[in-house]
Amino acid sequence: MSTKHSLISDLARQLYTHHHGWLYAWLRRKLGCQHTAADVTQDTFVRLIVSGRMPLPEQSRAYLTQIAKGLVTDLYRRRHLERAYHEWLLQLPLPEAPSPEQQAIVLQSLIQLDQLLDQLPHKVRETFLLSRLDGLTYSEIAVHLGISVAAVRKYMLKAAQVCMEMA
Amino acid sequence: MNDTALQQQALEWQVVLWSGEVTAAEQRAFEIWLAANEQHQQAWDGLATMQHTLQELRVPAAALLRDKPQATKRRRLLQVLAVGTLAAGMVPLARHTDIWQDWSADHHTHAGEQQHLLLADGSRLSLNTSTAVDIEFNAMERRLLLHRGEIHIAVAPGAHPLFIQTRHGTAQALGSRLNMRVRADETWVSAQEGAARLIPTHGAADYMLASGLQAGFSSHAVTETMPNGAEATWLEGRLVAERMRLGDFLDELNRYRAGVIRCDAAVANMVVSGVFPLPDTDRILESLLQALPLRISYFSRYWVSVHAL
Repeated sequence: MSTKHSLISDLARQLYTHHHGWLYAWLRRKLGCQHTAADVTQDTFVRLIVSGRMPLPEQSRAYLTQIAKGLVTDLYRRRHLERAYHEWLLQLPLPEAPSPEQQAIVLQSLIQLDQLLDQLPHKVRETFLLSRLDGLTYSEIAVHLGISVAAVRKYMLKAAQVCMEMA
Repeated sequence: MNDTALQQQALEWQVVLWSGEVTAAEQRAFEIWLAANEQHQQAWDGLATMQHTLQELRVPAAALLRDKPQATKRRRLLQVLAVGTLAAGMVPLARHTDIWQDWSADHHTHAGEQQHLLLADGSRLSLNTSTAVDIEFNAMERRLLLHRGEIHIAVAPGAHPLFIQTRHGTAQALGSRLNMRVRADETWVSAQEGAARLIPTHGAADYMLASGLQAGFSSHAVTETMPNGAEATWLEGRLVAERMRLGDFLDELNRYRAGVIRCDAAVANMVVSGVFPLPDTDRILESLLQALPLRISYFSRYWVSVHAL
């Protein structure tokens, strides 16, 4: 175990030395902010190390770019949700507004739920949202999406399994 | 059984309970599964974080996880589908849109209650136990959305057509008195005075129901027609059983009562006849004891079990 780990960290160190420069430069151009670019660059390497799979040397560049692009997409989505959440809070009557701590927790869970549901096929996600957020019954969802009630149940089970990953 | 398999079972039950149309039998089966052993209870408790988080996120998520939550799309959905009970979580969102207006004229009764209303056009509407109905009258038509339960309407003559819509389809009153009840899979219409036109949501054709008859229809077709029986006796506060299976009778009685009445299979096929006064269901249960060889256990006010003597 420990030899495998040290082998990976050796590879990771090499990879970091060779690729950090261009990746940071590319992200800085793309994001227009050096701090965010530095964060995403770090996160990209962390993601790679955590995955435990090292790319072959000739594929390293493509592999790192792919991870970084995914992180940038997540970042945009997260910012969008943050902004939307804060705008939404402003509409609430004052007594109903949650405390700042509560807001942070809700936002974190919201981002996580969004990412989890994002892994699902569109119809599964939509079925889940119609049921859990809009309160439609399974028959109503079946009619609306033009699928059988059995399919609604199947999709709900799939979505529920994914939601179990929520911290 | 290992933890993964147990968690899977618990999730399957969760999916059943999320349907928004849980039957008494499903509820019972779930309770039996839960009580069967400690592992089941633990597996169920393991879902608590997810349940709690989803509950917590419901309102913000409904507003934010859609790219564009369109009020108009939502509204169309509601009208086409005649959605079940108005979900509590939707109210805060609806407040900011014009949907709220459409939904403001709603009426509902709890178990054991009845309500009698005089509508703006002079029609008289009665709600039986556990019923929810919305009233939407406009310049073109009179429309009632029956979400759950049972209603009776004495229609005032008027220039505008009167429709009653459920999750299975719509009935148009062509005469003056209709009784209508939503069940899990079907809507039952009884034409008490004058005919009715039945329009299943996905039906190939409309169906004319003659006065004096009743029919059940699913969202696809009319499934059964028969002469009227004792459908509307609830209006006079009576529950009438004519050679009814005890199991069916207790299901019927259960509508008028919060909680669950469980019927042991060994006695479910006994036959009940009689006229019983509503809404005192305790008294009706007691009177069954005099007519049939039964024993009734009260685990709590909400959990009653009927067995052989």
